Amino acid sequence: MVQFDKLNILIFEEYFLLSDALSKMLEILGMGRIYKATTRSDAQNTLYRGFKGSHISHFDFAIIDLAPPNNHGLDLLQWLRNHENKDLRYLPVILTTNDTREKVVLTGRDFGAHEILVKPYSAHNVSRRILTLINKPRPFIQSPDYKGPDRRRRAETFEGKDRRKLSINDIEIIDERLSA
Amino acid sequence: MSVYQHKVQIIYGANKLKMKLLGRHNMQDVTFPPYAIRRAERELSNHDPFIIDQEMKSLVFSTISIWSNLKESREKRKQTHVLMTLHTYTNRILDLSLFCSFTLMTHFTQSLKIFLEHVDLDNPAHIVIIQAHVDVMDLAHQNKILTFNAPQAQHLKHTLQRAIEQNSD
Repeated sequence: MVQFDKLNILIFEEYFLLSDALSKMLEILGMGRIYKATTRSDAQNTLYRGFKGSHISHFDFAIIDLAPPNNHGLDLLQWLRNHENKDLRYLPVILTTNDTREKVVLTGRDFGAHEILVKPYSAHNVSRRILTLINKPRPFIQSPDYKGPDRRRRAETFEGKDRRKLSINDIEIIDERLSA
Repeated sequence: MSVYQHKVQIIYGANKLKMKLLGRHNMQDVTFPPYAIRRAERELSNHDPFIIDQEMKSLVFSTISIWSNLKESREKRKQTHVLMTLHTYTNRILDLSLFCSFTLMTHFTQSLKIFLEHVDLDNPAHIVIIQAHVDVMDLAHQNKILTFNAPQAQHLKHTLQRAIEQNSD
């Protein structure tokens, strides 16, 4: 029996009704402590305080709403991906949105979200995204243009002309698995 | 010669989530018990109709009031601020409509949300288009025509469509 109650989650959703519904759903799925932040600053403070070691030891992942029209969710994601604390920088994030347009989904991906979840929430969709975070982790990419999980989900061979500008000398592979 | 000043780092981290759930050496895939997913699904669809109705009423009322405020405002800076508030409320109604499967209200708010992204308040045609959205949303809520299953739903949808077509460039 997997004890999902060991996982602590932060939800950033400005609309209380959805935040409550999502939190209730996660509770039923057996998750541990759930913190509901309705403002970006509350989310930032709580994520940081958690990692500083106060009432919540740390968060294992975050579910962040895009929060249009100001897109505070993207700001929060950007803050995480550029954070000096490694645990915050690598924090798995599920980005939620009520917008199905491709440009919105691609923006979320390019800001470093691990998973994108289009509303309405369903227990099936939410649980699937969480299981992907747990079962299919991807390496973290840190480059001048992008910080986040590897955007390629499949390793495929390519037959055409190699147009990559990077050479092998530009890439540094860091394996932190053994030191964990 | 490389075009990149900084190296690209590919970091393979430990799977901390799985380690926390299963311990250091057990890497089997985890799943949720199906009964928990079913229960969570039931809980999600089990919302109180009275609370939802009150919430929708309050959101639509606020939207109408914000819109009327915006129409009266002549100051550019205030207009930008009020427009953001209108956008926020449109999003809330969209979220609520998606949550409750109010398909017609979802259609109206999705349309308004996209329109607001490029709206020009100095263009009288744009004012008419927003007004048409606000009117159909108000009518839909007052007459409980929230889904496409309702008999007058198509009529409201076409009314909005006509207003958009007649006022588009």
